[in-house]
Amino acid sequence: MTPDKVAWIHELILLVAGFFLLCSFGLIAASQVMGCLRVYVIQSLLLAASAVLLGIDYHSADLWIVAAIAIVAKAVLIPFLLRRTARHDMIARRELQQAISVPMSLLIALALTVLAYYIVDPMMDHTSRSVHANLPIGFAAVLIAIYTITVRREALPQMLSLLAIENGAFFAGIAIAPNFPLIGELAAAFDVLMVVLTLGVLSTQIHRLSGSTEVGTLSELMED
Amino acid sequence: MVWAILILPLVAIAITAAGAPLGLAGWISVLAALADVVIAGILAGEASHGRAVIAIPHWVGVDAFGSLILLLETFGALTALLFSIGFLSQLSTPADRKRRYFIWFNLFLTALYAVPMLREIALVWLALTLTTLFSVFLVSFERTPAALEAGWKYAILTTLGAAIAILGVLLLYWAESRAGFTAFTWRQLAASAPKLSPAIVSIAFLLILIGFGTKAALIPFHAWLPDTYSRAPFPICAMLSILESAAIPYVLLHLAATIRLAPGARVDQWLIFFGLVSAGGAALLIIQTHEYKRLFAYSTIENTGIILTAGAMTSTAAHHAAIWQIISHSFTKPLVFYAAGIMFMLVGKLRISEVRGVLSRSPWIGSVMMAAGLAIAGAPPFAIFLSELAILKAGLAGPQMWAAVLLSSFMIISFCAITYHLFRMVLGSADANDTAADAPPVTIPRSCIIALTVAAIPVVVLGCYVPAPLAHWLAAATASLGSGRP
Repeated sequence: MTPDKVAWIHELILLVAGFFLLCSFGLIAASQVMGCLRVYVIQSLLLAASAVLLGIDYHSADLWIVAAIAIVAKAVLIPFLLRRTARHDMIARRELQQAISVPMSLLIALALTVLAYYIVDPMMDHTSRSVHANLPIGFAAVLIAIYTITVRREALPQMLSLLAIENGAFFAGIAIAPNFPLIGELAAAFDVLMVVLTLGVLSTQIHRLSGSTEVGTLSELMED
Repeated sequence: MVWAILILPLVAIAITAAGAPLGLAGWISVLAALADVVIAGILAGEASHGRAVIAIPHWVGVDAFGSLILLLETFGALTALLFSIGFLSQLSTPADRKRRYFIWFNLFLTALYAVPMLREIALVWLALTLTTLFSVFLVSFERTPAALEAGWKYAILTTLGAAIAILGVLLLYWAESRAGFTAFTWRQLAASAPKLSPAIVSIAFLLILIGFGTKAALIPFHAWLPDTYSRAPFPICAMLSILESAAIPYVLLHLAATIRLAPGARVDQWLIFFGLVSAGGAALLIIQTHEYKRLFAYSTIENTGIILTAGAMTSTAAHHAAIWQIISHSFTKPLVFYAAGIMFMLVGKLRISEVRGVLSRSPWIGSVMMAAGLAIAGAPPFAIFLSELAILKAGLAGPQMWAAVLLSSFMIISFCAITYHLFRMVLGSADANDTAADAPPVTIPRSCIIALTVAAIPVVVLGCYVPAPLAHWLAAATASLGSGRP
């Protein structure tokens, strides 16, 4: 690769990282369930884009497979599974409640981002530029998503924040461990799908039960 | 043969899913578990010579420590399944859902058995995560709003832990690949350890400890635990205890033993810190708890804390004692939950303040509960007494004397608290206004009594003496752990 092209790729990697972090903020700010899902899908696509770019940077074909796994599992299968398991009124348009107001949450997320840079600092000696872009942002995404779980009160947004943690971990992962055994990537993708299935079914059960108050009839209602 | 351990529960699932009636489904699962105990015993015999039994190089195999965990898991599964048969027969849940209970249970077991058998660290992570996902519907089995909420809390928080742990796993792999290694197995990690960057592995280990610590309900990551244990069926509580105090300490201590070889890595400090906080915090929680299921759940946290603290001390004797504590706790805790389950069948209440005079209502249930409770509190002549004594002895002789002193005070607090609650429930006089006292006698299902009896054998035997083959095996397991000492 020419030096020019290398510089280009690095600019792009930085740009994608910026948008990735923006999605973490978006997950806090989204006011509807479908909005959360959309932000999550976009974030997963950015993860895939970053993997493709890093694949070029590191000359690693593995990362392209990682990108493909991310697209198939997170951008296609997860929305599909969610629509299958969740009932219509769970994902319908309505305002979500939050324990802490959105502007305050965004400020806290900003503080968490600074904290992430502080945490990764001791690890950054002799590392490549791509690691400098992805590692702190991945950490920040993890911290912000953990925070989001604690303030979200509804089942599906909580679950999507949970999945966003995994996104953040792998956003850092593709930069620091481009040769991470593919079996590990597959394991993570499989795990994510299992999480969606399990929690999807469970939240549907909770929804059904809280819609009904008479305990005697409940055992009839419950079928998964 | 290693494979059979994983395949047998799957066979039980297949038979159940193919439409076997409920009775058959239960007994097939028990049979599979019994066969697994035998196989685990044979594997343990082979592994106790100090060489790992390998099924696929780099991927599947058990060393001495792993085979020990496997035996504890299979034995716990055997008694828990036996107990489940009787326990389910008392519930009015539709038969179809009871059959699904056995399907989920066996899926959970497959993942649980895989933890000590897998050699690739990313797959160990997957197996641990799957144990959560497969047990969610077991926890929320009752399908009451409270049970579903408990299941949700359990799933969200422990999966959150798993997501934090994967970041640690990725960082660990980063450190390993920077040292020039590529295969992400226990053996390769140990080989690369002296060259690992201490800054990276310290943060990686902390993340993994917090992540898996959330799953083991280490304090302060135990928010999910009280609700989960209150709502989950008794046999599930028993299995979750084995997961938390045997399988997860196995992974953490295994990891610590390799990472501590990296010069300057902070591993033992973190383990001792979280171990002591958990043991001490749990001892205090035991004092103020209102439900006996939670009481024993907190006692599981306490034991996990004790195990991690002892495992991080700088002496082979302490490591030996830590593994011994894993064994004695994993044998005793299921027994306690079965005794508590039988007591629940008698009194039908979960709150400690509502249970009084069990001994006068049913002398045998009262005395069994008393004995099991004393066994878990750490009274002689039961297994935990000896292993806790060994930990204190090793700790006081080693450089971390202060930690051993703290541990001993936590053990005393929890001993007093457990026996206080226990005496109030078992002794005391039954409330005169309690109409249940005049109720017709409850018949306890025979399979529950068998489960209780089988589970009691190792607790009593190990309280008297440690058989020679077991001592030999313990030494081999300690060697596989303690070889990490510089």
